[in-house]
Amino acid sequence: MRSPCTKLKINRRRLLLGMSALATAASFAQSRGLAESSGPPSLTDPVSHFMFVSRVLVPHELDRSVGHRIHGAFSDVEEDFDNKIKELQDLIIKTSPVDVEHFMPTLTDIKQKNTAMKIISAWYSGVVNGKSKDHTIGFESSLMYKVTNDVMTIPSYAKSAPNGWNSTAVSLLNMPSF
Amino acid sequence: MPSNLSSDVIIVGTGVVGCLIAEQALDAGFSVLMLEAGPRVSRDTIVENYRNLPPRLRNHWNAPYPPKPWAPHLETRTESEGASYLDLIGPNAKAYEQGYVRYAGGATWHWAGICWRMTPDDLRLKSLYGVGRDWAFSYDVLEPYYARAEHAMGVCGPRDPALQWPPNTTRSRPYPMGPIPFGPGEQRLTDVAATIGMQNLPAPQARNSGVSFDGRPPCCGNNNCFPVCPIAAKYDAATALPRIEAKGGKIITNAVAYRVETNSQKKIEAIHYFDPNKTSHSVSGKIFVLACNGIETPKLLLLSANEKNPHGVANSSDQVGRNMMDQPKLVADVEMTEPLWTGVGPVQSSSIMNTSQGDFRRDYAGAMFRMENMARSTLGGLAALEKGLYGKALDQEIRRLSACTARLTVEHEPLPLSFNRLTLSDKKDWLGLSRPRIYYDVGDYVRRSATQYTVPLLKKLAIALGATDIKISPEFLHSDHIMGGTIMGNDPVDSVVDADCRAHDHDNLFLPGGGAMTTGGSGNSTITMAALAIKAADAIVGQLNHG
Ligand SMILES: Cc1cc2nc3c(=O)[nH]c(=O)nc-3n(C[C@H](O)[C@H](O)[C@H](O)COP(=O)(O)OP(=O)(O)OC[C@H]3O[C@@H](n4cnc5c(N)ncnc54)[C@H](O)[C@@H]3O)c2cc1C
Ligand code: SF4
Repeated sequence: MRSPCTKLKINRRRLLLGMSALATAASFAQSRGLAESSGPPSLTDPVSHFMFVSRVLVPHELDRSVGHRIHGAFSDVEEDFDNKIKELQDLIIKTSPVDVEHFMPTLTDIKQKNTAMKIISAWYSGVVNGKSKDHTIGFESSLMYKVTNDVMTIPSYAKSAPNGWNSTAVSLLNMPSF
Repeated sequence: MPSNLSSDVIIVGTGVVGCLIAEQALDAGFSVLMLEAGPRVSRDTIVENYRNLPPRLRNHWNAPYPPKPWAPHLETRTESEGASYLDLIGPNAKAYEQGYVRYAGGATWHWAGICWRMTPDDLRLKSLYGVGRDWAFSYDVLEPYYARAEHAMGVCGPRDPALQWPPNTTRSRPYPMGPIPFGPGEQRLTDVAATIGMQNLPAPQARNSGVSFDGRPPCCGNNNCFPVCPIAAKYDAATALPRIEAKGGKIITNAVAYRVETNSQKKIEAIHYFDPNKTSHSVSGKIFVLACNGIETPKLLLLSANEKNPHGVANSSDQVGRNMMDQPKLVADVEMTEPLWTGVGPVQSSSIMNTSQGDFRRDYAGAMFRMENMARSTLGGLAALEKGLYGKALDQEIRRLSACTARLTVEHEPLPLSFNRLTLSDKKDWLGLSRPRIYYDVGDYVRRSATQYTVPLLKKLAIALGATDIKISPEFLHSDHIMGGTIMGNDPVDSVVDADCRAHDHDNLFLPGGGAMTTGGSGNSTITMAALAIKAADAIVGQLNHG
């Protein structure tokens, strides 16, 4: 199978990220393969495809173990989820977007757009909404907390030493990198 | 198998009020048995419950505390859950959606820990302003009990008398710890409020400031005081339970008291309770304390009605369940252009109190103003996602909504009004016991305050903060301070308990806590409940020593 990366003309950072995702996926699958002595080749691993798409939709460092949980939850609540991912992946390969800002407007199919937005939402909020119940797949890993983590505590996690905070207000523009 | 245990002191309820009395009685050498309706749950279970909630439920403070079928409490996650326990009626039913949990340790599990004392004037509303009632005693009588309560619960507060509350009074003891530092939001509020004559004071709070206290660690700013402090830096009564047991106290959990039995001498003889198998047991003792909180205590007294006590136990005055109070609250959600940055330090750490006092109280209620200091990243994150944003725009909007929004609140002092009444609903709970039905109308005194005084002031404060958008709640909400249902007074004709929280009708029955409060004041009430509990404990120990 051809690597989803081969036709991409994406920027250097994204390319490196994409490659490292696939490398991680491959080494993950290899080590599993070694342990299990059989199994699908690395790039048929649906989580790798999901991570590949996620890395275009969410321009931050993404933890594969969290991705694994998000993918699992979506597979439970969304019919045919892996095919939806495949469609998004094919589009990414076809359009070679520079970033998510360029990719989203190319999604003219509302269903594809919804799938993309749900994936973004899951990474940020840590929850996958099902029909009858919500699946919480992360707490401190939710990206919405990282956006303000230079100032605000992730609720229930310690911010500092005892009385170690102060009243300095930080600029909105100092966006943390994560 | 039904059992019948006995003890010098029987205490129903393991909240802060019950625990303070239990420890004092044990320290004085008396045996103590506590009945607790709810389960005993470890702190890490509650933290885990909280972290596993979907984010839209993380601001429902009761959500990490699923009730047991036999010990229901109000749940707010859905409308139908909300209607499933408290049967609330009246024009301001919403303002009585009390968020207590029936768990061992009670509602301090998820309180914010703010501890404002009442002022000398708060206790004399009738004689000063011709409204409400006067308390059975003056502030000077209560002051030493406040100081003892502050030391029992570990209340930190400012050392500078100019920043202490109430103003112009003498404290018998300093706070056991110094103040908690402000984060950027509370500092900004303080500076801005000062420009319009409002003094934002560092709040006295039952939180360990900079040092360990009572075997609990110092606050590290986890900003999770409600729904649970993960490290017990904030006082909660659950931390007292192992100590009570170490001193010899016995605690029976999942034991729902449903009847108080009196004898022909009008003494309490036994308390009957159900276990989760619906088997009835009873306990007997010399002194009985009902510390189930301001709703559950009057409910239990009314449930105990029989031929000897046709209107319920301790109710010859017909005041049990009347005068239900809480501080009716309005909230303003504001948006600003500049970042305010709440969420640094504890979830609440300051309040404006000087707005609660003054001659205007002849006409309308005083009020406390404050700002929630909760981290708004969950709210900001969900709201930005709702807008369908992605990429850099999503990050910028989350940061903006988290930093540049705030919730201001105003809590009005209530008057004891006899029509605000708890009765027994014809709707039953899982055990077949009547649920509490509560009629609630905030009254004209509060409504006038909102229109003439507090809402204009709330808007002024928001504008001074730089608000570009202000949304004020369309109706009054609850503040979770349940008061009045077993009101204190010197005259048995129109009150339920005396100055020591002893029932006028039964000299071995004590009903301490919020129910006994004669008026509510504007500040958070638990420190007053705790002070009354300690006063009652002195009387209980005195009575046992002499009787
Ligand atoms: C979200 C929130 C924030 C708050 N923040 C503040 C604050 O900052 N400052 C402040 O002053 N106050 C605050 N409060 C209020 C404070 O929590 C209460 O005033 C206080 O906990 C009351 O203590 P208590 O011991 O009287 O009752 P509770 O803590 O309610 O304890 C009563 C106990 O009795 C048990 N019980 C009830 N019925 C029975 C029965 N039939 N048989 C056996 N046991 C029974 C219950 O399970 C419970 O354990 C807050 C409350 C909430 C909900
Ligand atoms: S800020 Fe954190 S450590 Fe401090 S009391 Fe609140 S939850 Fe506990």
